[in-house]
Amino acid sequence: MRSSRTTIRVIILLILFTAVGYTISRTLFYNDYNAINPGDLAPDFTLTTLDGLKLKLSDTKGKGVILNFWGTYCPPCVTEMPLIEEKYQKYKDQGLTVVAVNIAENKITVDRFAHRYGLTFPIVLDSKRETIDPYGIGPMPATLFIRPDGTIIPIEMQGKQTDRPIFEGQLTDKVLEDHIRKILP
Amino acid sequence: MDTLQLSSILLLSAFIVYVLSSFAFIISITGKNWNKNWSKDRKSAHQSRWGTIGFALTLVGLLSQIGYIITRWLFDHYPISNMFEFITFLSLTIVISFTVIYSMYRLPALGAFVMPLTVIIFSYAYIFPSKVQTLMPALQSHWLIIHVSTAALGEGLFAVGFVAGLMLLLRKVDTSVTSKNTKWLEFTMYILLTVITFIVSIFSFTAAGYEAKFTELNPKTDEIQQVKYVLPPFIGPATGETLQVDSFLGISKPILKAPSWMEGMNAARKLNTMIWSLVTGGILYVLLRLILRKRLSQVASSWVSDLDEEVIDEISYRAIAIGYPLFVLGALIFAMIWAEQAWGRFWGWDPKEVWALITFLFYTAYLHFRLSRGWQGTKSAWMAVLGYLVVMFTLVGVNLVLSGLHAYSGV
Amino acid sequence: MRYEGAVRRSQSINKSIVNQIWNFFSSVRVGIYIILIILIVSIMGTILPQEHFLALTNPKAFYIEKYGVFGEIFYTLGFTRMYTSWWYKALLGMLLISIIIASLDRVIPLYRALKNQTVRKNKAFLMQQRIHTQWSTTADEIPYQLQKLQNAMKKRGYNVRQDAQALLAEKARFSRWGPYVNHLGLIMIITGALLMTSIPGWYLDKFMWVQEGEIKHVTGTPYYVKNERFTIDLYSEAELQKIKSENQSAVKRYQTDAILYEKVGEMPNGQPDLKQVMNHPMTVNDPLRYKKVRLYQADYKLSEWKNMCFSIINKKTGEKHGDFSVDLYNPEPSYELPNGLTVVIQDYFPYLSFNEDQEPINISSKPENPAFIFLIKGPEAPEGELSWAIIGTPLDEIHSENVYKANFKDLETVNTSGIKISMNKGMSIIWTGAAIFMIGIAMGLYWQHRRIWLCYEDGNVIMGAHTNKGWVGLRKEIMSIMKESGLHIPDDQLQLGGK
Repeated sequence: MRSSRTTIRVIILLILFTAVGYTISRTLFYNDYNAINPGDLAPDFTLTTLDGLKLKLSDTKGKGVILNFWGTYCPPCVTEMPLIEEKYQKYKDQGLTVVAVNIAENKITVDRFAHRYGLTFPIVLDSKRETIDPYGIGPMPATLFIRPDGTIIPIEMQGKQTDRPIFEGQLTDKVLEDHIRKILP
Repeated sequence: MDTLQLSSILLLSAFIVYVLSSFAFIISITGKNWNKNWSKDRKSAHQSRWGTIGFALTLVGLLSQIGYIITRWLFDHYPISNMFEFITFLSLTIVISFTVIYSMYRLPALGAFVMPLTVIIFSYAYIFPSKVQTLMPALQSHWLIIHVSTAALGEGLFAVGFVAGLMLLLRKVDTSVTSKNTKWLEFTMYILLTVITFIVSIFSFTAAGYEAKFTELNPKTDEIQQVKYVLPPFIGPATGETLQVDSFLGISKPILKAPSWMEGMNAARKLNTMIWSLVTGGILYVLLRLILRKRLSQVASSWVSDLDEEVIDEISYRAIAIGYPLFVLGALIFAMIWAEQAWGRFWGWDPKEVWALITFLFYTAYLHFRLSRGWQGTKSAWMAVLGYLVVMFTLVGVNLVLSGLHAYSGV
Repeated sequence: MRYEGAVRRSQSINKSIVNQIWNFFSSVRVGIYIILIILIVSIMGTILPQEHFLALTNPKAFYIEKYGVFGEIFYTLGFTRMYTSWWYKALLGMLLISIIIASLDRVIPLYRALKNQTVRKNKAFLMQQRIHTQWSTTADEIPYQLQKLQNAMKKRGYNVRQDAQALLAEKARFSRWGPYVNHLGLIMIITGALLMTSIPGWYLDKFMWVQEGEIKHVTGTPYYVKNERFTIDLYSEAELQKIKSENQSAVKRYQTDAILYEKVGEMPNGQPDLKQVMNHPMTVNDPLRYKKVRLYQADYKLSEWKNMCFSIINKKTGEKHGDFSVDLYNPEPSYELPNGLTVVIQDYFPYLSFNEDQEPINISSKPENPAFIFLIKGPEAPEGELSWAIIGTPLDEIHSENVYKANFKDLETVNTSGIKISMNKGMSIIWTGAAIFMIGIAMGLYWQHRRIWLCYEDGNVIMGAHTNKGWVGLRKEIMSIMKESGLHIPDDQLQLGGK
């Protein structure tokens, strides 16, 4: 009788502590801004390129992808564009591609910008900001590196791997080289 | 005469009748000591006669105030959407609660304490502009009426619980000796005095046409704006200049400036009002002590010396027990339903919401202390007193001191 | 609350850890302390505004700058985002556990005790009750007296049981279940609130700007929202006059005529295939409701630039060649005009600015300072002429060679609604919990469980009475029962506070 009562108490306590613990751990480890995590499959989208073609992110499987969120109105985005172009030229034959998602701009402005800067990699237009939420994009530029299998790699900072999926801020040559190496097929 | 004028007259008459009923109740409980030769029956006849007069007057005032609500409602909207309308409504709910409790226990002494409190709160309302205002979109909902009325009714019952708690303390605590309880009781008396001097000062200075004007930087808009003081400025705004100060007892400029971190618009004015009330309350307190040569609580306790402790204890508890479900329903559940409808979330940790929750938690603790831990008498009476302080802060303090979504009902 | 003699389960001595934890949470004292701790930290949280009301990019700097050292301590301790912090949730969780265990521990013994009540209690028990009395009577008289008492009690709603020469009258026993019912409601509310943000897909809280005419996808749902029209109504002159208000700009209504679409499939061109499911003029207190989704009128922006209209003029002849209107958010590449004129948009800067090298750049996605470079082709300029068009800037000088000129003619504006979208699948649990909670506290506080025992022993009738609250009322009731039964008890013999 007494041991069965203890058993019941153990079960009730376990259920309660698990439920409360789960809720608390959600608060601790779930961050609103991190809509995605390293290792996750990159959320898919279909957007129109400057050539008027449809580009579906999941169709780039088999290639390493630099996914960059940008706008012509964002000075650091503008500054890093030539560097991205340079890396694109350097590695595109080894299976690297770039998908540059322009946020909330019209086609003409973006198209002329790409011309002026001689950008050849695919640029897609997200005029309704539909990719912002699924990727949890905050300040721009924001860059993700995606493996050929479609998963996102963790960002490395000063030689150390972090738990962040998104690199925020202007890209440098080193950052690009370090991450490109990990996503080439 | 249009409906609006009629409604103002009805409200003012309710106020006057409440003052009269306060006097009737006070005569009822103090009159028994007027003539030492009166027999016990004579005393009790006096008490019940004046108690009946007081209660009848209360009912007349109540009807008149209900008339005000109906006429003002007919004129434009249910009067509950700004500080003036809300505070008068709060006094109404105290009277309703008192009526309910009085008809259960028939204790004239309760009226002698509740009705003056009603009068104080009622007159506080007249500090705010009494004009009918347009109803902003957020307030255009039946839930405004349902939520505020129900919550205010609960708060009215908490007020009766507070008054009975205070009476119990005056009855139980030996006010002729110095003790922790006497000190706190004196402090409570002092606080009540500051509230009275605050209201009286504002009315007097406004009536005398006193004015002091300053410029102040509004941190929200970064504009220089004018601030008007009704009371003489001990404390001027942290930023800005003095435009004009009417002289009062030789004070023609602020003695001090508000500390710089108090940068909210009107923060200095509120601080000044508070300091003014505390100081004048203190002066009045000292004067009364000198005249009476007794503790104030000692004077008040003589009014309740013949009451049955058990009965007052039960009145305090009963009022709170009746008020608690109403408060929960109005201030939390109806509030949640309305918040879900207007703001898209049932709970958002707005300061007013948090304080409603704090009030709820406080009275929940009170009920548990009482039911499970058998708290009675002094301890539970102090909780009833403190509880009303929490209620008043939630109702008035949050709007004046903290900001948030409910700020529109401010001054 | 007295627990009817039955020993509270948890009081049985057991030193094992499980039982210690159990007993900790079972204690009402612990429960009250948890409530008081939540109360105190909640007060702390209201001293300074919470982060989520401020929308700050650097909250720490804000609190330090505005409130100094106090602000820094406050921020570092996590009080600025307290109500979503793990430790606040932990406190709520502990309260939840305490309520559940304390209730489980008490409700079963209470049920047993109330179910198996004996009518006859011993004399000592009755004399111990706070209200008690006794009177002498004879054995012949007693059945007659008990009958009269029973009638009077039944009239007042008592449930009376008789066992030989003892009586037990009981009323409103159900009010004893009040605390457990309200605890159940509370458990549901706290569970609903804690779970709602913890179960993926249960909770959605989004805000988005939707321009008039625009259709936008609500991320995370199959829904799309269209803003048909946004309007602001002011109070009319007559309404203001009636209440003698001088506030000419008092707003009466903010309204978005919204349409909700659901995606039912995909069209061949990859566009979503939308079906209209709801159409509702949303106002502040009247959201659009569809299934579990709610759309709220939350904010607005008025008169933002939308279309810009130009006319082409022949500078030499002054002849007008027609107008064209450019959508500032999505301009066409070229515009055909009468008389064989074509305007190609060579470049477009929604918000024109210049960098250090004096090159034109764009600095915003919002067209608030739009500038175009048009290539105007016409019979008199078959190759086309480049022509800048910048609002408010006369550019005639740099284009002095040109034949054609694009004159700014008109601006069309558009309103934007700020729409809040929310979905909370936990709501029904919370509302049900709230209803149960209300029923529970009303049961427990508006009714009193009253019991009166009577027994006849050695020529004396002994009476004891108990209630969980409202002793004065019970005493009055007993007095009137006695009076009706023809028994007179002097006031001072019916003790109150005898114990």
